[in-house]
Amino acid sequence: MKKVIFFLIILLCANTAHAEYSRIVSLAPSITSELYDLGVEDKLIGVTSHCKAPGKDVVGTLLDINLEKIISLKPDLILATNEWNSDNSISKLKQLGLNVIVFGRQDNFQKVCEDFVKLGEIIGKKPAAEKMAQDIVKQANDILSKSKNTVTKKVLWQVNAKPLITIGKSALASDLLRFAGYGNLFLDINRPYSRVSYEEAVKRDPDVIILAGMGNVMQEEKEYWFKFKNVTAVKQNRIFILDPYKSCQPTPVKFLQALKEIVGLINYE
Amino acid sequence: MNKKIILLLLLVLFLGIVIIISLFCGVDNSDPSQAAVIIWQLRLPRVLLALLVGAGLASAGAVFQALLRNSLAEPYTLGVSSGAALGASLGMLFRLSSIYTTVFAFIGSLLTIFLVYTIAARKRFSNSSLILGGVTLGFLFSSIVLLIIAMVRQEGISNAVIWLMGDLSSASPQAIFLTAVFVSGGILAFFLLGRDVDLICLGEEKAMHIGLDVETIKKILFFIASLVTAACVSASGIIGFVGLIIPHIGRFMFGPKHRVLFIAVSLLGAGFLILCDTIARTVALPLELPVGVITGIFGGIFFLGLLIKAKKW
Repeated sequence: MKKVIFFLIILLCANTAHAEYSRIVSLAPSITSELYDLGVEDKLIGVTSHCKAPGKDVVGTLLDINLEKIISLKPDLILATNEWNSDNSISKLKQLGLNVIVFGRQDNFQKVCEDFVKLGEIIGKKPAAEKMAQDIVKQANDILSKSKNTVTKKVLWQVNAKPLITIGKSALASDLLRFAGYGNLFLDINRPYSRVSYEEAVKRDPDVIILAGMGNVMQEEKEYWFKFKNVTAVKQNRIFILDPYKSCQPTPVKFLQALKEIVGLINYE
Repeated sequence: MNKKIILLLLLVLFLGIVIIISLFCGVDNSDPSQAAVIIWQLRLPRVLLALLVGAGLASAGAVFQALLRNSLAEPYTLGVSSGAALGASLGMLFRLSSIYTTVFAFIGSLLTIFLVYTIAARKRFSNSSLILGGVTLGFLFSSIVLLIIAMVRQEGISNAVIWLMGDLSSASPQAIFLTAVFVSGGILAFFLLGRDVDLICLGEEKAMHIGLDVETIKKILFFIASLVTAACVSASGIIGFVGLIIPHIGRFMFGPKHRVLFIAVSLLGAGFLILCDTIARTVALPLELPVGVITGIFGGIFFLGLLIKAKKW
């Protein structure tokens, strides 16, 4: 009898060690969105105010996390990103003995997919995550192989107007452009985001301008660009406004969505 | 006196050279129509705004330092910049277009001036009531700006932070025109009241005995200097250092006579800010640095050198 109980306890322990987590807190909108993609939203109990997750408890903003709120939720898994969450709060959570897993910055599509599979593995959905990722990679590669035939057009991808802030080489959106068959106008800047002068942008003569930011400011920015008749993008009327929520989220699903949208948007014959 | 006129002419020459360098240096002439766009549509508005803001902040700084008799006073001492920041972030909160952000910033600074005045008026415009009232309101408004940024999850609100860092690259023609009206009017008024400022600096009681209405003149000067600051901040965000240090350099070169001083610091401030903006635009190509970084670093090092070497101070 004792042996049986002992065996049962071992089994139970082993089970919990590998068991699916049931009280997950996500500290990044992209992770939240991936948890929904993997269909485990019922296990998600806490999110940030930037996440789109109706009905879940909010544990702070992307930058300022409310530690007390997290502890009161008694999570068994906290998913964080060192791109946004502060190192201090992450190490504090670890010190408190909570189970924190931190994802790194995702500067290209491959890393996004790897992290997605890793996330699937952690929450016990590895096969599903792998299948989804493979499917999405295949679709993205199809688009890439089609786009390779066209002559590379240079895109100015603007995330802020006045001052002009654009994406450099290590922004995910730069990889998005590569898949769509376009070149980033500021590929020589080896960092995610950077302020550049309008003068430099005009000199480099973008073929397309994408304004990835909030509506009315970007609408104004679009009108501002029309003053520069020499710029190819203006001449050919290829200035587009893109919803940043659709274009900037580092998840495989959102990446593919954004890729399709951009290919459809620009649509060079 | 002659020496001062020569110095002033040299400053005008310096300003002219800086403007020409800033407008024409490093333009690729292989494509003339593109070069024209870059010079007249992109660089000229920038240079104009830098000129106005530099002159406005420096002369307003000289006024504040003279009247408050405090060498740490600057255009932002009375909280005008924080009021403008509050107005601007409210404008961004309501997602208004950029010209309204400027207007809101201006309204915010006017509100601050009004509040500081109401407080100081109860204390007969004593220097400490002005400084304390201004600094406290400044803190209060800055905290409200931070509160808005922390509470609002909206994407565009982070623009407020960028706005606070100061930017000369993006002025609309309307904003430049408004700044021009306020700054030129302001400098003219400072010049006309320059002799009275000299008297007040000798001692307010003495000035009163001579028959000067010290309180009224102080009120007018503070009000105009605040308006000039408000116009500058609304058009370009917060640009540090110019209003604090340029007046000191001006006094070092021209002595304490305020008529000459106001003209000199306007020229100096304009030239200095155009120069800094040109550096900010070119030094790290293809990146562009915030102009406040350059004014702080270059100006700071230059002034430290002056401070160590000079026999004054």
